[in-house]
Amino acid sequence: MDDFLRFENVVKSFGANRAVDGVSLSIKKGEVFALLGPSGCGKTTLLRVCAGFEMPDAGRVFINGQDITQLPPEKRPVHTVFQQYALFPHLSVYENIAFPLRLRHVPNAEVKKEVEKMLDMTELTDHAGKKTTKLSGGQRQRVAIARALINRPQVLLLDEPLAALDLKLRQRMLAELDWIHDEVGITFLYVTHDQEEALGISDRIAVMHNGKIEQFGTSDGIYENPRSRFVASFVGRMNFFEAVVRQFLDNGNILVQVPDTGVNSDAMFCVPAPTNGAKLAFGHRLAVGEKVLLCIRPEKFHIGATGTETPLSGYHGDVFRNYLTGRLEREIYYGSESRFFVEIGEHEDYSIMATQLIYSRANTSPLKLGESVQLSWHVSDCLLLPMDESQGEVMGAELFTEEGEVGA
Amino acid sequence: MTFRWKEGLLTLPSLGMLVGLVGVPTLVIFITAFCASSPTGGVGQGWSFRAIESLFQWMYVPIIIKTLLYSAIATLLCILIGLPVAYLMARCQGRLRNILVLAIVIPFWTNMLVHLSAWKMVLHPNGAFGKLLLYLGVIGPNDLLLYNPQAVILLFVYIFLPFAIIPLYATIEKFDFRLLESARDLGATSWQALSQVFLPGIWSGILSASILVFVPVLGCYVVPELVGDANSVLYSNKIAQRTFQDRNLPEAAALSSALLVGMMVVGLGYLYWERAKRRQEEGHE
Repeated sequence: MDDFLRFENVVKSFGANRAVDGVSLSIKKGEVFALLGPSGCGKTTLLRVCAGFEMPDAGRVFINGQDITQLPPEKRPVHTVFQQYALFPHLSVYENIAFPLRLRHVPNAEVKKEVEKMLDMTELTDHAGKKTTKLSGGQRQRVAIARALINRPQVLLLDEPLAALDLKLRQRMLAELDWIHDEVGITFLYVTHDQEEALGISDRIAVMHNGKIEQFGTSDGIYENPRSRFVASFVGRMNFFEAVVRQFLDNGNILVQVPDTGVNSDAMFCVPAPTNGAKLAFGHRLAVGEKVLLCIRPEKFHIGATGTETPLSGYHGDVFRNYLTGRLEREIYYGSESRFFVEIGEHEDYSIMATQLIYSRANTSPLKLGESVQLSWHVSDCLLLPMDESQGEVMGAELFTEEGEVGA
Repeated sequence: MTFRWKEGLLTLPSLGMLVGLVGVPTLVIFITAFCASSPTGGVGQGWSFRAIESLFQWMYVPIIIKTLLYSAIATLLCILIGLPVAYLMARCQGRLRNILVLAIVIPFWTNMLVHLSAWKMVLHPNGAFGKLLLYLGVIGPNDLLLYNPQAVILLFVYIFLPFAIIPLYATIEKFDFRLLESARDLGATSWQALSQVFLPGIWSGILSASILVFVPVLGCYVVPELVGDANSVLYSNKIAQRTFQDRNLPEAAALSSALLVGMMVVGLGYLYWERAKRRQEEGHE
């Protein structure tokens, strides 16, 4: 069942705005699939197309081989957990959960049995008689999930289900959702703008951007091998360097040079070969002198104080080691990790971010602000992306805020 | 608690109006019902239960039934017509919505007698509408559009429709339409979503619209008088008759008081029932 839920070339426009622009996706039976993207990327529209609230301009949707594109929402074997829960305020918790069964005129005894099972699973038994307006956010969320699951839909759609909860509750509900999924084994299509949520709960992820699927694959595949600058910076954090291809090594690795890095401007960095797997999404062979983006995640750096000698990038014994020297500009302490901002070269805005887990406060050698520090990383911990001229030449650390805008 | 006392001062104007213009006249009517009548009209000497006794006549029974029936039909029609209109208004955006609201409110501000005279012209045998229906063969040359129970209901509905639309609009506007999507998603047909989610969701609006139509219709004696026939004499017409033709003020006051008490009993009964229901729900927790 490789394509239990399948979108085939779905297009949906609102006026001149192409919200969903030719999306094809195949989702396996029983998996948790996340649609991840900034707001306005079309992920919610795609979900609404699947639920039957939006009729696609073109393309089709299949569940289990059956074309459901023309079916009205109530005829689809699909239920939705809405962002604002959409519980019925005139009904009690019990009756909210029983609602889908009542519509099918299920006998009372069976309704009672099914609802009690759901109440038990979502730990709401004590609240069965309450009005939903008297519940907390997390409890309402659980009512919405129980209500959507009681009919045993083939696919459960979750539209930013945790967005309205606070951080602690969000983390707990995420674990609970994971548990519920294990319990019921229904295919989940999970829409979110939160990359941690997506990475945490899903088996596979599709990253959406401007109505298109930018990349899709397993969680770690997306994180470790982003295929575009957008994915690289939206999922996790990423440092970008504008680099020039200098030399192809015999083992397939590539030496690149990053101009404009001040004292390091002659330094060469070694990057894994584009040929090994999906590490590079280049459609063509690279040529010497070509401009590329060198990408390194902050946690891949090893950061330390500069010793008496400053090693340069190159072979140290048999191993190529990448080195970069800069000035420690800022440290932000998060308890479990520290984020270091290191200024490279002359430009103020050429600041890169390195993070380091703090295992034990006693063992960390103190780095002093304003002093020279050294960053090093393994060859396999960086990757090259094609230079996207439209994205400008902003170098250094790039972070996505909640709204999906780029901030440094 | 001096500041509370000062805050209370602010309610004085409205309180004064309520007491002076509603409370005192109502009390006067109640008291009048226990006065003796005077053959010259007005109120005679001393106290008497004659007016109250006069209420218990068989002739009032069919009138009361007819009045309740007319009011109920008018209310039902107002809700049935008002619901789609209010729904449309609530779903419209910006300019169109304002235009619709204005189109409802302007007739609402116009005097009822103006409406009545206009309708009398429209429905008149020589009026354009009457002639059109005659031409189309819908009515015969001797059929009257005016002076019958249908005309009374029509005018009730026409005059009191804004009273239904405005509270309905206010409730529907606040209704969360995502609930309908949610219902459809969970397997409800559009009809089921309407009857099981939408209507219960705007129940309070339907209730206040019903009260706002039903109660004034009960007391609106002008409409039956101007467009009704001998068969459409309602309770309010009896009050008017006792006041203006029989000039028996105590009997008119007794009829009015009975109407008031009757409505109060129903209203209080409903409130009590609501509270009992809520108590029961809370007891569930």
